[in-house]
Amino acid sequence: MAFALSVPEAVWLWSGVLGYTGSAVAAWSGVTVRRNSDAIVLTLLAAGALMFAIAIAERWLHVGHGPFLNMFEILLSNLFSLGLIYALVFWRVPLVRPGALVVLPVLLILSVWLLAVPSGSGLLPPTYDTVLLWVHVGVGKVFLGFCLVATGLAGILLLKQLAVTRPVLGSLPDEALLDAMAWRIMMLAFVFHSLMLIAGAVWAQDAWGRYWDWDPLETWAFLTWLALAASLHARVTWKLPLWVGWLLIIGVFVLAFLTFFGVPFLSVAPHKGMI
Amino acid sequence: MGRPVGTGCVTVVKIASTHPERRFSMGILSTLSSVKLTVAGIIALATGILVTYKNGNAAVAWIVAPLLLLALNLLFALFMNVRFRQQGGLMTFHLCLLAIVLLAAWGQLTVFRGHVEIAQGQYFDPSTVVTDQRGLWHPWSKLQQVRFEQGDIRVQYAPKLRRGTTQSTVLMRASDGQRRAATVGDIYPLKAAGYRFYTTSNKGYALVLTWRGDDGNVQRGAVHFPSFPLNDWKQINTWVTPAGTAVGLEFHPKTTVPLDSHWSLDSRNSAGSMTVSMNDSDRVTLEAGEQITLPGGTLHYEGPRMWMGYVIFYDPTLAWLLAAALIGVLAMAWHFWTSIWSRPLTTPVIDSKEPDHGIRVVSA
Repeated sequence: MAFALSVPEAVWLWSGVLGYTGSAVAAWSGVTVRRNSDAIVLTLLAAGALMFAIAIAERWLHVGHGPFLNMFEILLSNLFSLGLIYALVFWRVPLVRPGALVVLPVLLILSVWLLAVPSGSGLLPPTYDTVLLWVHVGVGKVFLGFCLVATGLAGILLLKQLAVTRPVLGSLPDEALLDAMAWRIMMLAFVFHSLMLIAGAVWAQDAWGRYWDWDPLETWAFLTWLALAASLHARVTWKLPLWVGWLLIIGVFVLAFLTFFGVPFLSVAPHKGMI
Repeated sequence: MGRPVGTGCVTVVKIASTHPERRFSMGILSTLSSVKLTVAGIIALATGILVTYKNGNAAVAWIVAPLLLLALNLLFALFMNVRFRQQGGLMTFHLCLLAIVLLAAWGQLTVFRGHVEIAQGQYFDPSTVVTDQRGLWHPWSKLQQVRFEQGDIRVQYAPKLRRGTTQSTVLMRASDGQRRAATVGDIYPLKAAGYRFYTTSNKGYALVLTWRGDDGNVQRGAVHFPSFPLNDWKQINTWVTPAGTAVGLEFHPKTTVPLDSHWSLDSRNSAGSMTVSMNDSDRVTLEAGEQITLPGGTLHYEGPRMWMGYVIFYDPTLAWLLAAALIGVLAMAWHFWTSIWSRPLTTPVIDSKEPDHGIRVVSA
């Protein structure tokens, strides 16, 4: 059963995209003209997340289930969760704010992608009718959110190394401080990724009679976990140059991004063949 | 003798020795317990996973060998690394990882996977189970303890025949001797004697037949037909009578399968006729309750029932695996909190009231 985007849903969705766009523009223009735009960035980001939340609720009423099935729904729910998590961290931890220059464009790319994919929906499989799905998806979104926060810091620190950006970004907070914060957040991400794997295994046991079967999403999620584990071990073992650590953080995020948005996209359904 | 060096979470203890042999063996032990080897092991494990992911026929050693290396590395680290032992949360997390690997291995040795079809009114018969995987140490006798009777079956469909919820009623005798009914299906498996019975999309009709042989022999049983509604166009099967005559059976369900509306496949509404054929020209259609005389006896068609296909799973380590995983994550979070997060980054720089680390450039 295909559902076209309803008018109210489209309005809220576009409002969310505009909110994130405004937030990104405010962040970059604030840096360019050397004025503190944090309040505007946070307000527009929070407003955008709220608009996406309303769009999700509107769609839920329309199609009869939460945003769990296809790429459109996965993108929509992640735009909300990533925006919300980043807004909360941006608000409570001022040190991460420089990362907004990277994070907000990433959210914009996701927004554009959302507008480009078909908005149809399907029937929620009976195996999805469980609180375990909420736990699994919920902690997964928190993991990706923290990963994005750390990637923002790593990205801005790498950008700062470029000669062309140095005049604009040259006097951001101390690199070591931002680096330490980025890795602290990656540790938090590691905890939530582990919880995601556990909740997913419990759900898979109930839903499909096995807790682990190396399906594409399970495989890539575990590879992401290994990459993060290896990065954390490598950082405490070798005196890596800071930029190598930043690349590792971005690498983990890229792997996680491909797992969240690439594997389900190629497999049609999040766990191909399992529903 | 020993002095911890390094700045990370895990620190290797270097022990000075004047004896070359001892120095050599300590070097080996130090290498085996090093975090560098851990990183190498993780990379090897990731590589092994990628190899088996790309090539399904690749040997399981691609994954098992790195896991063994990591387990060995962890065991040596426990003995060699004082700081590691002192960090309770970190050590507990790693011990839980080791426990998960060992439990998963134990699970593979005791696992059982199989499938079975059970018709309404029929008791589960372990001898009809088809084994898909059986661990070397699986306690086969346990399956003999499972006893239940298949009750009603109901499967809901949305338009375009998209399968919804499955409800399968099973009747079990409780410890007090009373028969109790339970409804299982989808994410709610039947749990009995450590086994889990999962309903599947595989279900269909079974025709109950009674054979009365000319020799006085009476037999009653059910012939299962192909999965329905997946194979609604070929509800046919063959059966050999106890007298040795092969007959073709064709079921004509009264149920029509709607494509554009909600629908339920419900065993309580099972109805339909059966055509018996011994060759192309000799076909007789029977309604429920009718019978036909065949060489060597009489075949009585009692009526249709439904059968449900189950996947059977047994792994005694599931609860332990979950416990180890949860304790491990809690221990890791505890370690991060006590060793890292609760400590200030450097001098107090984070002040939510004064966001001096905002996006803006604070000095030009």
